Amino acid sequence: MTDHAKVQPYALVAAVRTKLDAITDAIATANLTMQEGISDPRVIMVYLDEFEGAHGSRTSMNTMGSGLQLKRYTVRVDVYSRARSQLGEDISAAELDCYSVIAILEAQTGSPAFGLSGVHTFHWSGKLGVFPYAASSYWGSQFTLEFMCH
Amino acid sequence: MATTITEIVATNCVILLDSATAVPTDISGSLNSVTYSPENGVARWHTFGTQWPQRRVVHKDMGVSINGVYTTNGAEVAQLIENWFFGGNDAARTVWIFVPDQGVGAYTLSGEFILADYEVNLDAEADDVVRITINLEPDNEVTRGTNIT
Repeated sequence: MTDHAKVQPYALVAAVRTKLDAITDAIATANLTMQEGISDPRVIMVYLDEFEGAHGSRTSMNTMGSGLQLKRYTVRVDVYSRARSQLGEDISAAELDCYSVIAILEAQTGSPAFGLSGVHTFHWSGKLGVFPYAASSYWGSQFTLEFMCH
Repeated sequence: MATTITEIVATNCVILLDSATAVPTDISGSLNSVTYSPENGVARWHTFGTQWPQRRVVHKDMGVSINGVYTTNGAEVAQLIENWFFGGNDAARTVWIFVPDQGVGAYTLSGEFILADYEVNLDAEADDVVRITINLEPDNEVTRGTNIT
């Protein structure tokens, strides 16, 4: 067993993006690859949302003398499946993309998850819906990934 | 009444535990809670002529309970304890507790302790690292002093 590297938020977001980019006909973007516009209807945006020091502790440390300081990072995954047009087709497209993302998340059974040393646990939740972006509305899904990291 | 300005916090307390080769090892960085429980063994008796009991302190004891993080480093609390239990030598080891830190003037508690029991719970659904809980019991006297070095 090797020591855990400290997880950098930038690397965490990039690791999630890399896995999601495997979804067929979808473009997963994060960090520097993010763009303002949605040129392709199936765009997945991955970004850091919230963070907390010393996960599970009421102080800044998890052990005496700050020997261990676990972090909790919340990463948001926005999936823009289809511009709002015909309801049945919109929802179908959103559901299919949703299942694709779930499949990727469920495949993270190895240790560490997402192949990033220092990631201890992760938990996800999501919702389907209409999401406004710029002046348009898109059917899609939004996932919240909570990581507990070294 | 003067308002106190000498309260302490536990975040920088230091705990040393001997390794198998009797090297005092600082295990503070892999544990987060230590509870020591001094206890007097009290004799209680009644005599004729009064409703009230008489008491006398007979014995003394001081169990130490430790909550730590289960890590794989051999010089940290979990592996020291596992190797102590399974290592074939149950002899008492020295424990030092420094309050509130290891600075000069800090209070110290020290003595020889045996490993009474410990517990590790492996929970796949916990959003947490693995923890270890340890109970130590003293072999002979525990002394309280002040750190001078």
